[in-house]
Amino acid sequence: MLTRIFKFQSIKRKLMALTMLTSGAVLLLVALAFVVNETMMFRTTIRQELTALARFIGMNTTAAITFEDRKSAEVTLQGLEANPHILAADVLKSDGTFFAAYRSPGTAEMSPTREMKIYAERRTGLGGSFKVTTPILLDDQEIGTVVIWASSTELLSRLFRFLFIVFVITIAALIVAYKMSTELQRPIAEPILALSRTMKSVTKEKNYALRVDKQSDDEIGQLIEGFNDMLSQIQKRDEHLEHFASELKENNEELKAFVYSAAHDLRQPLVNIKGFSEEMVRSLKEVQGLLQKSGGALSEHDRRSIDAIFQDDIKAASGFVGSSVESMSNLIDALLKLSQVGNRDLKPELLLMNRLVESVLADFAAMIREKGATVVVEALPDVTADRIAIQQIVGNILDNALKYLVPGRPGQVKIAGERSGNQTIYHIQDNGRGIGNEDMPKLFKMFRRLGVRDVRGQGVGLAYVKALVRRQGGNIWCESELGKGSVFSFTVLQRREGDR
Amino acid sequence: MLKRLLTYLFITCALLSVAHPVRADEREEAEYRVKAAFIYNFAKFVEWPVSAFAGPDDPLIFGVLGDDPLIPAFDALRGKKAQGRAVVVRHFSSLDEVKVCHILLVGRSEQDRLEELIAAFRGAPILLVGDMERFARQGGMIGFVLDRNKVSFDINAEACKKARLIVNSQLLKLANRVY
Repeated sequence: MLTRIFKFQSIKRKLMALTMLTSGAVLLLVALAFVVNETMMFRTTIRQELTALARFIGMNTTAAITFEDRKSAEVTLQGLEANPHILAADVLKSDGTFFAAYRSPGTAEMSPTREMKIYAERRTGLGGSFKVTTPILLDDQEIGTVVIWASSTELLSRLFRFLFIVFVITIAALIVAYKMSTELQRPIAEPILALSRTMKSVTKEKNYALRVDKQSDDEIGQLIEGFNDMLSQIQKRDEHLEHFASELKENNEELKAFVYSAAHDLRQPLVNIKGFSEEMVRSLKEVQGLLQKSGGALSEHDRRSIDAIFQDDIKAASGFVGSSVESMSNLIDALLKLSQVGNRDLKPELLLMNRLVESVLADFAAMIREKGATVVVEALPDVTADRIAIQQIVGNILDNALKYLVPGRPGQVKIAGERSGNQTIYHIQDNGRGIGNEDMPKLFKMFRRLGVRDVRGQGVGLAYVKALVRRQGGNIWCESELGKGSVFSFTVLQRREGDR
Repeated sequence: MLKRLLTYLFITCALLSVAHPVRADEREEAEYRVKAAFIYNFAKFVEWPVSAFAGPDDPLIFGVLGDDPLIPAFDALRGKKAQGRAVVVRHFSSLDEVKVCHILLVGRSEQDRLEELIAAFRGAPILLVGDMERFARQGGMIGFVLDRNKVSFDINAEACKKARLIVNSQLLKLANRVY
């Protein structure tokens, strides 16, 4: 029942109810114990008081009894009038015979002790009436007895007064308990309420950057800590997700652009093929016309014309068609190569970079000699990465550097490397023609060939290099000044022990 | 004196005629017994100075000087106890014989030389009791009187005080007259 009511209350209410109910129950029990104790105490006290009174009367009636002076004894007894709770009092002699009496207004006519007794017994309220008997002593001898009857109204009035006080104190204590519980529930309820508020707003606003203040080191503190940890994990994951989403979007854009430019570049040779094959058809028609006109006997002029058509026009056209087909084939090869970057499994191994660069340079030996360039290789930091990928990256950049050297200027290429934090950076510097600012954004895009097209290439190299670098978690960029040279830099993530 | 005696007799006779038919001497005997009991009870309501006793076990001495109709009843008190002490009854025939004594019943035989007698005991812690008219008034300490046919007593508080006797206030309250 209690639990069911509690179910829908806030923790603050629950804590307060807990305090109030507990203290209320304790108070009630204590009050009950007090009341029971006091009720018993009251009886004892009243009895003691009556006994003292009876003894006092006994002491003051010794002479009266001794000298048989009833009147004097009655005068003494009359003093009991002062106490309205005393119903009656009798003084008996040692042999039990009646000596003197006091009667309150209500019992005026009742003299025999027995009659009095019946009357007193009938007046039983709560606790009944009191009867106290004490001996009257003189010289250690019992010379008589005092009997006092008192009503229990005094007990009742005292009890009611006490109950009233207990009631007032209980109410006051409950008020104090309420005030205190309002204060004391705070350190427990507030953090939980704050937690629940934050939780709600997190759910509503999807704001995972929110945190709850941790105020204590207890279980609630741990709860809040756990909650905050969870939030930060979600936040981190969110950021990752966002990062990946933007990367995916970027890649998608790139892919779109790539498809466009790939289509565009593939179309160029097709146009050539179409044009030149039409040219060939036209030339062949011309030849056919000449043959029909001559009717078997070719004039010298016609023969020379046909010859010219076969020698020049058709040969040139077929040559153009052939080169276009080759160009297309190359393009398709490059595409296939590029598409394989994502498919091939990388096998990271420790690469001694200086040795690797030496072997790449060996492939370019003829080209370097032809261009009259000097290549300087500094001491390079070693890395753990896929051998073929790194070879291709270095080879492609080097290829570009050598290709685009300024003719007539002695080419200089420098390869350097350094460690920075958890990554290794390599720089390949040349003193070539450099790249203009307007071309920079297109540098690593597919099928983009910059500047003067006097050098053979498909415009795939740098896009491929970028794909390789990115595949290994690295980055690539270029700093360049038109006419002075470029520096291509790429990073390789430092693999730690245990990383795959 | 005679007049008083006559009144006394008259009252006695009147009482006899009203009350149940009891012989005069029988009535008197009862009265004496009451008076003797009174004397015994006085001992319970009077406090003597410590010097009046040699020790805590000393008896309480009841003395009789001269002759008195009370003597037979008085003798009967012998062997009783009062204030934790044994009651001893002694008879003295002359003033000189009276030595250690706490309560002295002055007999009617001494009525004529009462003044002399009282003067002789002045200052001594002895409770003087007499069964005669005006005994307390004349300087005795407790004197019996009849009050409406009932035995009562007068107390000379002044004399008691002079004798360093402390009389219980209850006793004073019961007294017929206090001087």
